[in-house]
Amino acid sequence: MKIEVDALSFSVGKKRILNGVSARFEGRKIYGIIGPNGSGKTTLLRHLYRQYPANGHVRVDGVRVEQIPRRQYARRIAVMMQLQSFAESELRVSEVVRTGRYPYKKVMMPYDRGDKAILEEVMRETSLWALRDRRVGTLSGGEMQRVMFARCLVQRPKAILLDEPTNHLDIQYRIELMKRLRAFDGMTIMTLHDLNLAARYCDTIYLMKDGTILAEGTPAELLTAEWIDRAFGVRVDVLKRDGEIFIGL
Amino acid sequence: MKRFYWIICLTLALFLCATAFGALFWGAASLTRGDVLDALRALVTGGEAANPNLYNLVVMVRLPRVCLCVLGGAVLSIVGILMQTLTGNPLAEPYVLGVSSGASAGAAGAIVFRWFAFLPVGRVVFSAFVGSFIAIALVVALQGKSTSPVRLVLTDMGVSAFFQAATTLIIYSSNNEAQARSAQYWLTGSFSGSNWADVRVTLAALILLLILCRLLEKELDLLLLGQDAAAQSGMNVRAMQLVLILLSALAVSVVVSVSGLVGFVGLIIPHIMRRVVGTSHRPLVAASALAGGCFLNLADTVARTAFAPQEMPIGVMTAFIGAPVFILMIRRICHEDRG
Repeated sequence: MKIEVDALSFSVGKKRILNGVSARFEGRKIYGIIGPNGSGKTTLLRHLYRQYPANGHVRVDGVRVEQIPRRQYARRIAVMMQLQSFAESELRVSEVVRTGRYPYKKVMMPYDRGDKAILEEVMRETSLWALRDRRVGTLSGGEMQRVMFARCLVQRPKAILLDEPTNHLDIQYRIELMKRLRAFDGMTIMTLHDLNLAARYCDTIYLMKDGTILAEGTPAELLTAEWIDRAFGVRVDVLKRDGEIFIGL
Repeated sequence: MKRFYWIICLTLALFLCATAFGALFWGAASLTRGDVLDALRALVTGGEAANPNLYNLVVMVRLPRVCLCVLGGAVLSIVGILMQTLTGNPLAEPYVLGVSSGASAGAAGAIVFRWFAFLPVGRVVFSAFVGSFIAIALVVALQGKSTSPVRLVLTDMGVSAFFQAATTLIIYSSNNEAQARSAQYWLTGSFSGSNWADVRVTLAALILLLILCRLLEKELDLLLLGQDAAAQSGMNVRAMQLVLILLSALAVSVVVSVSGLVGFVGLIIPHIMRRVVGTSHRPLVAASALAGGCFLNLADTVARTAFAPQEMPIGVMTAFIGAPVFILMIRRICHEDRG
């Protein structure tokens, strides 16, 4: 699996949000996109999951994304959403996870035994089986996050995209999610706020500022006091111990 | 879980049969139990009724009215569910959204101004359909991807006020007294004057709704997670929205053209049934259709007997029950919003 972004620009009204962004995502790795608010990281991610038109500037395995049929695309790339509407709060856990099988079904074709088997396997794996009949409105933040992750897994994708997945989560759930992503057999691309999580779990980091990519590299290369100052305009202390990076604000 | 769902549906079905049967015995004209049973026996066996006048009253007046209430209640409940899924908002309902008002404006226009006069049959229903389609399309377009209940309710107030004003304007611009009275009827809602032709049209609408809900249940469930999530799972959201808008507009226009404006059924029933059987569409649609039939039939029975021989418009009954539920729901949702 290979996703290439080539000289992608995007404006809303007169405001330029992305300015000639090029990036390359490949193989079974965790990519982190970091940068200050308004740097364009979420917009970049939304182009990857086709919320915004890519106009030929984004390719998956060499094919322009707008040429890939919707369902085909969803079979390869899953997006971990955060739910916040009221509409779904009375749905049961298994019913939410089940919707991940949608890309494999034609219109008017019901979910079958094969889907059920995958559903059960994934839900046991993510310790959701015991919660399968619970209404999702009654779940904790950590459990809900596991539900949405399971929904991605039943989609059997080659890549999972996440937009600020850890924003509303307590620290133990952040770490749990990162560990699950580490175990996922595929590519992960996520935007992240938390630089310490990025340091610890990402293989490659794209550092963004003002709609452009400032630099690409490993956490050891980019999460230095100098780069963080250039991107965020703040002075931080970066400590290294046993090869691990700690950023103190 | 499945067993629970079947028990609920079976209970509701039994209750529906019991209340529908019971409703035949109540009404403005007091009939004895023997009269009704005699008429029904004549209907079922095809034999002669002891009293032809009573037979007509039961079979040509009361029975179609009860059938229409049951079917209309089921259709309105299902349309309520479809609109709630379409807008991602539990407060959506044909009457609240102004869709029923759109339909009644269309129907009034067809009567007073002879809109769509080139159509040989179904002129009023078609015109109501056009009106309700415009109203839903307007609401969905103005709402966008927002699921904010406040925004939805305010948008709908505007749409609804516009179409009610349009209906009133049409009625007032009519020179013909009889026409004006007939158009006035679209604004209040009543099941008096039901006939078997109305029953057949409504039954057809209900069957169409049930079939499409069953075929599209996977799509409807996915839409509950939001338009973005649905699009990322590979659904053509725009096409699905269009199908749902067309279907809802069609069903609402049928009900409005046989009964006028009956509000809040599609709000109360799905809201209660969601608590009982959940939001997944297969159990929800089935249970709400049954419960909606019970509810509207009971409401109509009260409406026509409480002040007998005067009849109260059924829209008044449903609003008296529905409006408080609506207000409570807004309170709860706004509360959750803050928390």
